Amino acid sequence: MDIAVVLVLMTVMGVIHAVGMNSFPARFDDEGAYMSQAWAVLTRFDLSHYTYWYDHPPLGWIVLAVYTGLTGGLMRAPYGVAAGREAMLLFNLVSVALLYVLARRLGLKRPFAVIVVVLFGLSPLGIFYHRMVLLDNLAMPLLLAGFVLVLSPGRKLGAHVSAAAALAMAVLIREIFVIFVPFATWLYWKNTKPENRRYSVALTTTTFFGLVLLYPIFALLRGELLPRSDRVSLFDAITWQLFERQGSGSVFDASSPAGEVTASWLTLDPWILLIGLAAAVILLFVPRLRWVGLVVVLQGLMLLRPGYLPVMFVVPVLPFLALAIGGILDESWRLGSQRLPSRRSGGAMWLRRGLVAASVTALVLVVFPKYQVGVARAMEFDADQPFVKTQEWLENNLEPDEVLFVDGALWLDVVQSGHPQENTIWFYKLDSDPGVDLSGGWESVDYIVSSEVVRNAIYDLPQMETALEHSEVVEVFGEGEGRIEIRRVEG
Amino acid sequence: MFSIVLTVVYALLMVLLFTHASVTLAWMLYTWRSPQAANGAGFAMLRRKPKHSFTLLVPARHEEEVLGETLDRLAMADYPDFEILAIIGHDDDGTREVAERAAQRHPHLIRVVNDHSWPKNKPKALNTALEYANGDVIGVFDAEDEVHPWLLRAVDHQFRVARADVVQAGVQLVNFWSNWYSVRNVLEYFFWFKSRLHLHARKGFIPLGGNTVFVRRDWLEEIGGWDPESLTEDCDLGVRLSLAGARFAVAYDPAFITREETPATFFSWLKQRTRWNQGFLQVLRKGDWKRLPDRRRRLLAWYTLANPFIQAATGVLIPVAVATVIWGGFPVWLAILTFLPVLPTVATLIVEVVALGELASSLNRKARLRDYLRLVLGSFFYQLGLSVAAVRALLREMAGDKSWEKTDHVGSHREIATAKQRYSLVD
Repeated sequence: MDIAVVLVLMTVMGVIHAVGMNSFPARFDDEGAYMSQAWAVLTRFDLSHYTYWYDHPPLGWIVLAVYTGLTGGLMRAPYGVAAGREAMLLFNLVSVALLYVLARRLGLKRPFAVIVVVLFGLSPLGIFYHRMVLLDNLAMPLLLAGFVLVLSPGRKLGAHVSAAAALAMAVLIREIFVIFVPFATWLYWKNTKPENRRYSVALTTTTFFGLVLLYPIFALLRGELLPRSDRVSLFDAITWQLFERQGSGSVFDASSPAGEVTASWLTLDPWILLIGLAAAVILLFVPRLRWVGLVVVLQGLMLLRPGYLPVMFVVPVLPFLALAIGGILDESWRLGSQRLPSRRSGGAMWLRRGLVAASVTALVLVVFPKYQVGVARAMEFDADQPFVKTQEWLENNLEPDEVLFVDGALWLDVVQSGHPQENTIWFYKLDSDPGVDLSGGWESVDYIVSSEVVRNAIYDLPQMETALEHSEVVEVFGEGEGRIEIRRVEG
Repeated sequence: MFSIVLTVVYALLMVLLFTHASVTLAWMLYTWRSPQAANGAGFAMLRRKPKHSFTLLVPARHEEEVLGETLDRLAMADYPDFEILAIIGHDDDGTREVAERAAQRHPHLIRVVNDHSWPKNKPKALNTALEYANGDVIGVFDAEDEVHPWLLRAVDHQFRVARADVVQAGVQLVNFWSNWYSVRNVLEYFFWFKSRLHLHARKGFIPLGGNTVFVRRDWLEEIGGWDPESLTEDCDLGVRLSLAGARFAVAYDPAFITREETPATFFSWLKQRTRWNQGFLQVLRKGDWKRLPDRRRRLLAWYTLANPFIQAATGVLIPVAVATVIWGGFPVWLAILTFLPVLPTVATLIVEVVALGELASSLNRKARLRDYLRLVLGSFFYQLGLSVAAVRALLREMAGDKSWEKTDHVGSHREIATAKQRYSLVD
């Protein structure tokens, strides 16, 4: 029965995810970065198309490389990033299935587990970010698998070890997922029994740390673990991520980057965020599902700290927000049925169940139309047109010897269309990577492809900024903030 | 081109090493695969009246020091219907004297059987005694065993509950404190009898132990007893019984284990291990296992019988590979691949450390830091010993040398106090 439900859910979510996935959302710089790195793995056996500087452990784009290599994605896809989006569809489907299993293993009744998955899959916020080629989407199935396996009903040693391996790989794809490990560990501990606990603990810790340590060992073998004057290092990358990155300001300040990012999430889907947060707070008082509440509340608190707030911060929390909502509904329903039979409590039980039914109905009546609008937009609206047109223009008008500054999202497309790699510069690399050497500095640059990302980043990139100042618009595609300008640099 | 081929070969080798180490670890932990399985690994709760009659065979050769006490203990077994046959070589007067004095002390229980075969070995002795056996079930014991008085009840019950034709009860070396190699030797027995043998019993291919093993007499007679030329007649018996389709039950309970001791010196350990390896090789070459009905069991049989030799290779290859990588300046991806088999190896070591604690407490003793250090630091040297034994076995087999190198026993296991019993036997 559960299998049938999972298959139906996967089909529905699959269709909603897939239709229009190459047109909405528009290509994004980070996606281009990961796909270009995957391309580098495939074609050059190298970890990055530029110098690999340990910004993320490389397992994520290695997986992407394996996928596109096996399926020939880069040949088939309309543009580079699209090849990766195909992989995202697959991974997201697996996440959908695993989320359902997780909800069921946590004891949620079938209808509420379905609500969890529906929220996860239909939320416009979810659709937006699940379609993007993000490391979070690659790691999510592994994270969910880890939780599912930890809750193994037979408390099998094999399941525990697999959970440790899955969590380790999730961390090796997206290092920030390490914050979920304590919760998984706590669940795991509760789910072990004395008969085989000591062996289970021995094996799971060895597996997890053994796998995760491969990353620093890898850095060590390349001589890049500790800081050196002439090389990148893992140590430097970690300190930069934690301490030196420019803060985004406060989420309550509408003009700060953090405020804008939060506003963008709330525009896409305030419901799952706000109702989920409220549900999580209530869940803190429910022992069975307290940890779900803690995960969400903890993430919410992390929003408040000063420091850099990436726009995909919300992605790993989405399944837990959905779980919180489903969990609270299930708990209310369940509370209604745990009384000893007596006339008075019988009435109370039906009152609670009525409340739950009413909440679900309200949810459906209020939220569903809004979701419908969001889903329709995701399936029909073509936000990628500016990029498509830019790609076309560049293919037709760019000479091989002309040097180009480009948004990361287009880098792979430009290179795959035949433009020499040394003349295609990912826009921020000139100022930040000593390995990129342009004789003549910014003056050798002929064209700049200026997208929203580029315009937002120039404050930190002096050479790029100068080049931009000395340039003139040749073509514009799209309008407003998301427009792409093709600019010719004088000189 | 050449370097690509070399890389691929090396990568394959690492994957093979990883697979072997992981499978070994998984099988080592078979009995703990779930809490339910861990609970079911011991003897079933005893409730019924004893049914079978037992004949206990105790072959002994130059065992004057320990045989007397062993026979006395066996005679004290709390069971209504059993007999003991002490099998002594016709040229071994010293041991015969000890056996006959024991027979005088327990006239209705112990008989002395003279074995006239030449050259002497254990299977010939057992076959000789088989003709004099009267019991429904034949049990085999070693001359230095310490047997619990309720073992026969537990075994009898296990026969009925599991509807088995063969019951292998647990044997445990106990003197992990004695010297540097004893701790590893002891743990080998622990994992073998407590865990891995259960897997073999379930899968239908089992190399039996030569001790505290019980077989129904009609099955033994049907397959013709033990192989008189085999160096590991127990393993060979297990193979032929598996072929014949017998049902096996394995039971390990700390209260009922038969206590044995490790060989007294490293050289005697080496001789014993050489004999076992050579015996496995003999059984492998004999080819009876090839007649097993399905491919999975044949693969399991081959893998199990060849294991001493596979282990000899991998146990040395893995540290060598790691050392080469660290000091040899390999390309980074090869180095990462080399760490692959290191993971299960390290996990195995940690599991062994954990198991030492569990075993020690079941023996009512405490494992001290010295024992743990010997466990960890002695690992590589023990592995070297295993490899030497494997090579020795190979050479002996190739040279056609089938003589039986016997191990001496000094009784150092007898200083241990009896472990707590787990359940009452009120009928």
